[in-house]
Amino acid sequence: MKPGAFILPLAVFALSLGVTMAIRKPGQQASQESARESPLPTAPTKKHREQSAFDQIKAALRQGDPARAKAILKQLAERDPVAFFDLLESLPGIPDMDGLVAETAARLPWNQPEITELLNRIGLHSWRDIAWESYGSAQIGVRPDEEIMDLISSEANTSLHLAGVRTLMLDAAEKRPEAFMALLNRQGGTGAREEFFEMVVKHHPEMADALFDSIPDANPGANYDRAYVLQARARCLPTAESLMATLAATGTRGAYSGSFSGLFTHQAYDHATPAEKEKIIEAIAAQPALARNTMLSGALLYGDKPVPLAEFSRLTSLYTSFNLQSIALKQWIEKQPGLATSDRNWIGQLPTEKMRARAHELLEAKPTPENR
Amino acid sequence: MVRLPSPNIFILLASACAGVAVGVALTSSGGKITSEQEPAGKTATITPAPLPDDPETIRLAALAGRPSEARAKIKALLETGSPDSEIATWLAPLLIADPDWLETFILTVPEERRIALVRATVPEMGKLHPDSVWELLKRSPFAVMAAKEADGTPDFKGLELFWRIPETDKTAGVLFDPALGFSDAELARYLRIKGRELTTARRVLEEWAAGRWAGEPPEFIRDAWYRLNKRDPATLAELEKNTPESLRTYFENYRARTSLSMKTNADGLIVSDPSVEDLRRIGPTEVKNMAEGRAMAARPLPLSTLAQLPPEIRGPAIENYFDWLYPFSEKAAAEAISSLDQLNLTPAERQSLLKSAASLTLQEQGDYRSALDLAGQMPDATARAKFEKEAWEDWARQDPADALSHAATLPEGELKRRVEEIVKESTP
Repeated sequence: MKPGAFILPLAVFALSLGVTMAIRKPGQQASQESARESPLPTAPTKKHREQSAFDQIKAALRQGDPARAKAILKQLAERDPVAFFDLLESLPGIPDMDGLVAETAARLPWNQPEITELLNRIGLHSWRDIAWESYGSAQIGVRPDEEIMDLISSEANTSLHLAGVRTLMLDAAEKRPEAFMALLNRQGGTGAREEFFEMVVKHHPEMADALFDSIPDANPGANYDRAYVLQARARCLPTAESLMATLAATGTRGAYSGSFSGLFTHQAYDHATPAEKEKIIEAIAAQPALARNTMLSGALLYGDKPVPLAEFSRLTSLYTSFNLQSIALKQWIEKQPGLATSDRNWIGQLPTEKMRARAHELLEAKPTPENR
Repeated sequence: MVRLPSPNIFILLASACAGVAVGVALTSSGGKITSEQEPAGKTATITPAPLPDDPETIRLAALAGRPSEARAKIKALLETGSPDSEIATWLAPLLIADPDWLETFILTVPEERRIALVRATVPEMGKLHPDSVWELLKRSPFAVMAAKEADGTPDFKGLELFWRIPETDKTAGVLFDPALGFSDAELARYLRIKGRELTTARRVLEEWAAGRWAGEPPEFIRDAWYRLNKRDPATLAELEKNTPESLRTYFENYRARTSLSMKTNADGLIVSDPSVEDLRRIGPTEVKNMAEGRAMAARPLPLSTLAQLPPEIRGPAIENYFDWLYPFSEKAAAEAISSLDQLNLTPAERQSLLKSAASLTLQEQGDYRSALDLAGQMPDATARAKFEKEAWEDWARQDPADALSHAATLPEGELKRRVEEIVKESTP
């Protein structure tokens, strides 16, 4: 090639080099040391405007003085919140920073692409979630709920479910639940309605029916969320009345539902006071046989903890099927690995002869230290 | 591979790429803190003050470019046989600051521990600084080897370990780097759960267009397309232009499905139903997915519409038609069931629908009578007998009194005898 033919390629090289370096992020200026050793021509580099603060902070850490590093960081945060997060991107793990992260994020300008990118570059997950949460919360009452929800759900690269909007939801749950539920219903989708429901019924348990009923048909995720909302309802409002209402909301034969009746009964019973447990048992006893059996299995078979003996006897006496009593008995024994096979006194308290005989059988068959 | 028009343009292109490559190399530190390089003379005369023996302080110093104390800790822990989980908490900050050190360090670890130790460290690094994990893979051949280890921890094999690490915009470049050699299968496994980043979505589609994962596209291809379509349609359009014709039909199906959804939705609600022609255009997989989404939304696709599609297009949707309809859309389910006789379905489809409706009626409504009625309509005699037997036996165990009373309607024979036997056993 003729010498003149190199001019254009060289110009293109220099141009693309310059453009590349100019658009690379300022936080990576720490590697300029290595640039000095490079044999290749270096384009002019831009130091971060807070480079000296960054250097001081890192020097403090290398000297074993995290307290001083934190103090400098705090000043940096006050002076230049964006620089603070630029640095944080590459300096994870400094303890007790949650408060400063939250305070500083709240001061960042709302709804700008560079700020979104900045927050999403925070390395430590917990900080990133805290920063987004604080950033969004600063706008509560300032911007419409929908705007805050939209920005955070579409832009925030957070790790925990609903990180960034939790404070907003809690605020709405207390002060404007219907409007916010309507917002969630317009958005459709899964996972948020269930959490919001739980937040609302803490303040307004009387709204449980209305909230569930508000989930419309023809809404993406409706049937999925309905199931989870009802489960939350059973768990958060563990009364006989609420349980029966929950089962009624499930469908015309809600108490018979294989997927839901046992689950909801378990949730309610597990969280109920002794007085409400009593009422739940009465409600179960009033059901037709199959519904009763389904609900009883919910109270007995879910979870790892065995109910106390007297309760166990009472509940199993309500079954109309020995097959189900037998299953409950087997599981109840299995949930008590410490139960000595030689200990038979408790068997006398079981409600029927068949159950007592089965209990003996099960204990005979149980592996003991001797016959293992 | 695009055919280049002339040698001159090739040289310009190469120059531009060289410029970019040099620019990237000069400004890239992977977000990590590099150790300050002190001139050789200085270290001979000044020794830094010792660090307090506090784990946090030592780890932070390591992160900021002072590794000696953390390295000493690790050496001691290795000698006393401490578990990987503990060593990992010291190793993580060191590797964030200086990923190149792994190749040297790992030689000081007993051979049988090396892979496990690196795999234990990766999540620790990810907790602190996700980019650093990908940087480590980029720089450390040993880390790549550890990433491919299929016999890894019991819960996470191979690249599944990286499900625990946040994906970043660096992920795609590392995973798809041919020099690192992650296989199609390994990458597919990773992408089962991950792929949320736009850079990954884009790279996934590019790789697929270039021939990776030949055959029916994995689910993540669809997810990547939808993600890009929503967040960066311009890039997607460019990508589609460079995708071979045979693969582009899938994109066309996705696009047709998206348009169809938009056409039928308004203000967060589904307001209309697609026509037979609409559905024919989007292909069987998309029809199935749409049917599932609609059922979950409590507005199922009308069975009468599906029944007018060619069997090969409607098949998968028909098979799963009743999913999500019980219990909250039981009325819609009942309507679909009562319309079965009027629809032009194959016997196999009718069988499948009746089976699924009967099972769900039993399971979700505890309605054995209705379930047995539905079973009675099944065209497949063997399947019908099997279902009836199982339903009766279950009924006898779950509600012996009611089962017995209804068993009076059974003809004398094996089934009736069996029901009576189970009822007797199940009476308390």
